[in-house]
Amino acid sequence: MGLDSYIQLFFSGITIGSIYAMVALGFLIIYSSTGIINLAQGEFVMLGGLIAVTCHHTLHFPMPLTFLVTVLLVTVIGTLFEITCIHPLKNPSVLGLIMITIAASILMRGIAMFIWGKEEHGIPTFSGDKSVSVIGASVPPQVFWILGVIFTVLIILFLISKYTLIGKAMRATAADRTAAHLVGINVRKIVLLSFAVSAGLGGVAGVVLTPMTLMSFDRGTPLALKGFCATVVGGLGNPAGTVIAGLLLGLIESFVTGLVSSHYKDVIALFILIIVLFVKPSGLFSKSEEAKLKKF
Amino acid sequence: MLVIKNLEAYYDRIQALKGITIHISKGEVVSLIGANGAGKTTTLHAISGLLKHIEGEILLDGRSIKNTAPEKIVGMGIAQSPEGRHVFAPLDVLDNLRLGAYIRSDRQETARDIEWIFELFPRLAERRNNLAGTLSGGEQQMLAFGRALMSRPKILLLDEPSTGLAPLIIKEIYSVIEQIKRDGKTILLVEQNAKLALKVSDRAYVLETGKVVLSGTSSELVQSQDIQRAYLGSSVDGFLGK
Repeated sequence: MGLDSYIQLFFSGITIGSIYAMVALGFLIIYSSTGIINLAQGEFVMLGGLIAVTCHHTLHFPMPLTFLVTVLLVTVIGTLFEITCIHPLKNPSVLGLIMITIAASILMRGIAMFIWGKEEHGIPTFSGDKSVSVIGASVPPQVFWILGVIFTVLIILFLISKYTLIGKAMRATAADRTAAHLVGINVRKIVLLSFAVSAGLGGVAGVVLTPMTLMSFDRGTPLALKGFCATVVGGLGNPAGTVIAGLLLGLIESFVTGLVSSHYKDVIALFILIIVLFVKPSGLFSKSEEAKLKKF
Repeated sequence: MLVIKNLEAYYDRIQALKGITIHISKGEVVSLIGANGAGKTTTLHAISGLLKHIEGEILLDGRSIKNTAPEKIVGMGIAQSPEGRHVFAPLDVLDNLRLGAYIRSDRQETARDIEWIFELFPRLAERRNNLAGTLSGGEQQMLAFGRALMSRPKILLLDEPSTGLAPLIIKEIYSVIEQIKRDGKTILLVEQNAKLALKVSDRAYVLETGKVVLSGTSSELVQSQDIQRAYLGSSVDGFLGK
């Protein structure tokens, strides 16, 4: 096998890895502010893809508008999900809330199947199909769109959380809820915001991914599973670690698929998860003292 | 200014407060003293709106603040420096202080207040860019204290500012309490260390298993036989410098 094949595998790995990273970050943001693992996280990606399909093919929106409308709609869906399903509960247990997210994920899948049917849908790539040659390997241009969009989003998110008051308030709430209450942070608003941002991230991932791989109603769950693995491997609490874990997972999956056999594609993430849980249960990028304080 | 009448509080089915009545006037420093589990911290949590199951009345300037969201209570002018510090560990000292002013929108004034906090606690100024989680226990206590001051509260609730700290640090913290008391701040102080609390406060309430068992001016309480026996230790006479 030549160098070009390795480069090809690298690009396909980093591409799918960046999608995993987005899903994983969505898990992390909601977990940090509420302690809930939102298992409907993958459905946001699926909805992002399918809403984009409708925007583009049925409503004939140009691509930039499709992108904006889709991300906005998925964000609204995520917010409504929190308002209707999570918030109204009196004295919720974390486990009960996780059950609700499972139910929500099944419901969203059902509704999506009802609206878009069982077949796969696609939207055109953002800038044609002419492959770009990178050191001998031919890479589809959509790969650069996916990487570009996702890393732009990650950088924006990083800047917001680091330098704006609302970003600091989000981190403060994740660090210490009681203290957040005591300085006057509206924790309820932060929780709502974290659902909105997580859903938005899923939406972005869905729109950029769909031109590459097509989208159908049942594609969310496997993505949620991989994203979840990345979140846990990253250590549930460290955004940079989570993104790196997502990328690593994508790369390993791509290389094993390419070099060993594609039969193992979906096993790899779980295999890595089990190994990490055996060897370093706190995750690769988290301190074990921190992990002791977590409920899961 | 702050009036609490027949306050009862429950954790699940356990009754932590059994009808507490206290009041604090403007410019006063009032302390709640008593052993572990007497209900001191619970009282502060009830005032700050952190408890769901409470009965009785909590009035701030005549208006009920019972069942008000904690963030609104901060907005009304009651800030708390919680027990066990509760600083925002992954954020630096400056950001912790900035978040203390979360309810305020006057940026320049906020920046000036941060400098004021640094004057009160010079140690914090040295460590302004360090993560709060890396500070020593004493520094974290100062930070929690400073953070509570950042909202410019009408009433400051201080929960156990001396617990687990070295004597020198305690002295430093209490000198700041003295200082802001001279500036006319109203303070409700919770302390296990009765000696310290009575020294700095004008009046005090003694709590025992969720009830007020004794109250009066601090100088009266220091003289009281019961207090000496229960909270100040028998050799107290010499220690209080009579």
